[in-house]
Amino acid sequence: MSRRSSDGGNAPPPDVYVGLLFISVAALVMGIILLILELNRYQWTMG
Amino acid sequence: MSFLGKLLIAFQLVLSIVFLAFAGAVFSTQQNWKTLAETNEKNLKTEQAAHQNDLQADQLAKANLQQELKNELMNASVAAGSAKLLEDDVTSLKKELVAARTERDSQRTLAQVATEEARQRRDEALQQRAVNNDLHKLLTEKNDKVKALEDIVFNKSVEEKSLTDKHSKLLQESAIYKKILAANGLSADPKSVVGLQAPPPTVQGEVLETKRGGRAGSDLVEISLGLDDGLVEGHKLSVYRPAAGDRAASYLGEIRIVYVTPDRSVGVVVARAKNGIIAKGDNVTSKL
Repeated sequence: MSRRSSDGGNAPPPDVYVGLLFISVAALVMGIILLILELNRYQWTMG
Repeated sequence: MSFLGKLLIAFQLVLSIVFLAFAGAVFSTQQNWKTLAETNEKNLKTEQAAHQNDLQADQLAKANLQQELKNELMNASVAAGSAKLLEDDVTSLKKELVAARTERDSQRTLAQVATEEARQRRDEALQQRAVNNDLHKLLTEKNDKVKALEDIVFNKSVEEKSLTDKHSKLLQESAIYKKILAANGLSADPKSVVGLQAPPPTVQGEVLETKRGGRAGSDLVEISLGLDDGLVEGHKLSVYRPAAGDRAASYLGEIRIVYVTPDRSVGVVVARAKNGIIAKGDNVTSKL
């Protein structure tokens, strides 16, 4: 990808896979937030 | 983009969605285990305190129960001693009961014997009472007779007294008469005159013995009559010989009684028939 951007400077148009990556990032962020909230219930103590 | 990049993107997407689902499930379904653990720990402490209290109460109760057990054991030992004593007492009482039963049987036998004896004595008493009643009746009769006899004795005593007075009076009169007879030269012997005054009773006897007197004596004749026949000295009897066969009865003489016994008399011949010889077996009579 870096090679392609270095090639022309013309960014290819986002396709469906980029949307899938955004969805994936959003799902990861959402899951991390839920786990953080869960850890807040235990005051971040693991024992 | 290569096929592998596409495949990795798809795989990454799937794993991200799975991660999101897992985190959502954990968040939505997971409970607050710490709160629950603290609650449980608090409850556990409470329960432990209650358990401790219960344990102390149990220990106290145990101590009390042990004390009570000791007391009960002591009571049990005392009761066992008492039971042994009571058993000994029961044994001795059984022996006494046997002895008492034996004594009771013997006493019952004695009581039966005594009852039988009492019944016999009662019967005997009834008989004696009947005899006593008869004796009372007899005594009453005897008392009546005694009273009657006392009356008779009293009457007799009165009569005796009057007779004594009369006798005394007669003695005085007799003394006077004897003085009169002596003054007139007469005998006062009643025997010398009784034969003359009173005739002999009508009797008939037999000559038992004869005795001829001497030259100056008189013939004596013993006859079978005496005082019992009413003869007294002075009476005169005739002597005869009864008829026998061809011989006729003949008069032999007369005798005068000079000596008298109750069943014999002796007489002297005062008149003699001619050729009359008085012999044994002749008859004598006061009236021919």
